[in-house]
Amino acid sequence: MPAEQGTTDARAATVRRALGVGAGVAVVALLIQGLVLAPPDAVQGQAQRLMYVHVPTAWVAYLSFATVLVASVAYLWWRDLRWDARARAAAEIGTGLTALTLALGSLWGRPVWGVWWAWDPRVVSTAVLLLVYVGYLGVRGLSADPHVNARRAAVIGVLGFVEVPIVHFSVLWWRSLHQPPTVLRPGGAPPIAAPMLTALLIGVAALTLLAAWVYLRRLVQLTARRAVLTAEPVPAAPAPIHVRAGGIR
Amino acid sequence: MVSSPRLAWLVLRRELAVEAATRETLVSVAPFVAALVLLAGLAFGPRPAVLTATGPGLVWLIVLVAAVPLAPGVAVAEQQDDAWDLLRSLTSPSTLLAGKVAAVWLWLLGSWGLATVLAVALFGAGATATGVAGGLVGTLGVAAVTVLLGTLLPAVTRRPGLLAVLLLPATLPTLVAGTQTATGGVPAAPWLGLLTVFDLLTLTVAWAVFPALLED
Amino acid sequence: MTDPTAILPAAPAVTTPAGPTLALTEVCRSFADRRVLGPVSLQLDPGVLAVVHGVNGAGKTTLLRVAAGLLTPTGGVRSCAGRAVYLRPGGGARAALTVRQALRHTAALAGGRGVAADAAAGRVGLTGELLDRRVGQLSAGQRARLSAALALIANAALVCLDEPAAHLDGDGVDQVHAALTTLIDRGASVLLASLGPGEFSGLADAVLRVERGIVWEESW
Repeated sequence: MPAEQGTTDARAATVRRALGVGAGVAVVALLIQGLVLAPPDAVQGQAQRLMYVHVPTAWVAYLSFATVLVASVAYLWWRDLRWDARARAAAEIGTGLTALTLALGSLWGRPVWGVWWAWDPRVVSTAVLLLVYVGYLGVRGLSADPHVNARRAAVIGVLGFVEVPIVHFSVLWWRSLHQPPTVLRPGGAPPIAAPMLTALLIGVAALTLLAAWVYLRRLVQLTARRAVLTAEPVPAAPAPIHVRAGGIR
Repeated sequence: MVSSPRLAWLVLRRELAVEAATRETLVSVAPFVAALVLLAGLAFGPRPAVLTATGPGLVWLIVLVAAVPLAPGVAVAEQQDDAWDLLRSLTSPSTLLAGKVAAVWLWLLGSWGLATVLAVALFGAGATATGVAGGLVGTLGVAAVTVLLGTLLPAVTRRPGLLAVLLLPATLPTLVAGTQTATGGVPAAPWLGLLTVFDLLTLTVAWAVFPALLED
Repeated sequence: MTDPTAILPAAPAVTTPAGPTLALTEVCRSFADRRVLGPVSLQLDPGVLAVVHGVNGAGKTTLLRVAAGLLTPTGGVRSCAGRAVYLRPGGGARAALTVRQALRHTAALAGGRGVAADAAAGRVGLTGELLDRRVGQLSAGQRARLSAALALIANAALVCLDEPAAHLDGDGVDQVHAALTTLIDRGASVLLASLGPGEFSGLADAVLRVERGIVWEESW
């Protein structure tokens, strides 16, 4: 068993290293493409370059949320704490990225459209997503028993994932009640220039690889801690006891 | 063996008996609702047009905020009396959930009713049939979320704001849809549809995860 | 050693199933990665009383709660032929309800009728104006007796009582004795925890000892 574990660990470490290198390369490529090679937007100017990070962070945040859902359901089904660790790592990354998405969106919106915030369904849904993540992580620290924490968090993970689409629709319909000034141009955006599209795609790749690398490293941290704790030996079971009416055996 | 519907009814009946004995919900929630309406009037008014416009939204905001003090009554109050174990043993997760959701639904209908009456009286908001339908349907979904979260969070929580952070975003669709059903000049049918879908989804999730939450 | 099948419970009100009421097979329970109970293999036949004693922290409460199905074992299998309840002295009733209300609501949930609730109250000495007093206003001893009455009403195949004699004087202990006899006669199995072998060993079919989560039988 230990020998097998060693080989598995070594393989996992190789994968992580490869991901890390890939992420590094992609980030460098993104910087070059996004800051230098892609031209500034005709209307929005240099601020538009924020999109190359903002859109990818949103994408990876949603991907993390989906991971939290899958891992939460898996934990509730199998009660294996490894699934809980996967859910937790994904939630931690997702929280940071969601906050970053909102912040970058604000920074992008201010110079271009003059507003820090828009009552747009995507923006509101992302803010709700952040609150759900914060709630998810907050519920974890309440008990000393990891299974209790895992169970509670998993319920939040499932509930949150089910509710967020409805939240999105509610705000979408709410928005459509009055014709708003088209701040974020929901449809009919002009075709995007090739270098810009390239930058965007590199951004998505870079952030996905980076997030995957951080995720795997975080998983190693979380599971290493658990391995130390579960090494307790189980004592031998005494003889089974059968209590019958009138006395034992 | 007691049938499931009867068991759920017995759980509800027990909740009603406890409330009749303590008047806990009435005493803590009703004045809270009244105070919120009063303060909102001072914050948004005194122009009547503004008050009339904000009336429906205020009602639902109050319903949501007033759900927070209802959550401890679900499980924490039982645990404090050491009655939670026996209650769990005598019922099944589905019947316990049904009885508790029915009780919290009644309390929320009370909050909604009081807030609506005050909004009509103090804010000059109108009461419509669709608004009443929205009240009935919307409060059910909020009740389901409240029972779920009330069972999830323990008595001594080191993070008291956590319940609000979890409850309020989860009930956002009810806020938006409920307000629209009570607003004049807005077609209410799609919003009632949204409320119904939200309720069905939330009740299904609650039914599915409640057994896991009852475990120790 | 007499043939167990020759000893039949007297006039059971509840039909007793063929196999054991409770079967714990290699059951373990851990809390925050520390093993607090097990492995335990224990079977209780219908109509038996097993007393479990051990020092504070030995694992008696954990054993009872796992047996009652309130704690999920982290290892092993638990099976119970019917309803199981767990009661501590003073537990089982909302403080705001009157004694009569608490008994009646519990009886209704358990599938009994009002008369069973009244009879149980009489059995433990909760009569007269006590019935109209709120549970929260009872003394510790009265609440302990209420819990014993609730155990009678619960209509359960397995009753787990955690130190039922705590807070009780001589009369109270006698009443719990009577309640236990009724439960056993009706075919329920009782698992009772106490600090020392003490008051109920005379009535018990077995005395078990818990030490650091391991359950031993005591020969006597």
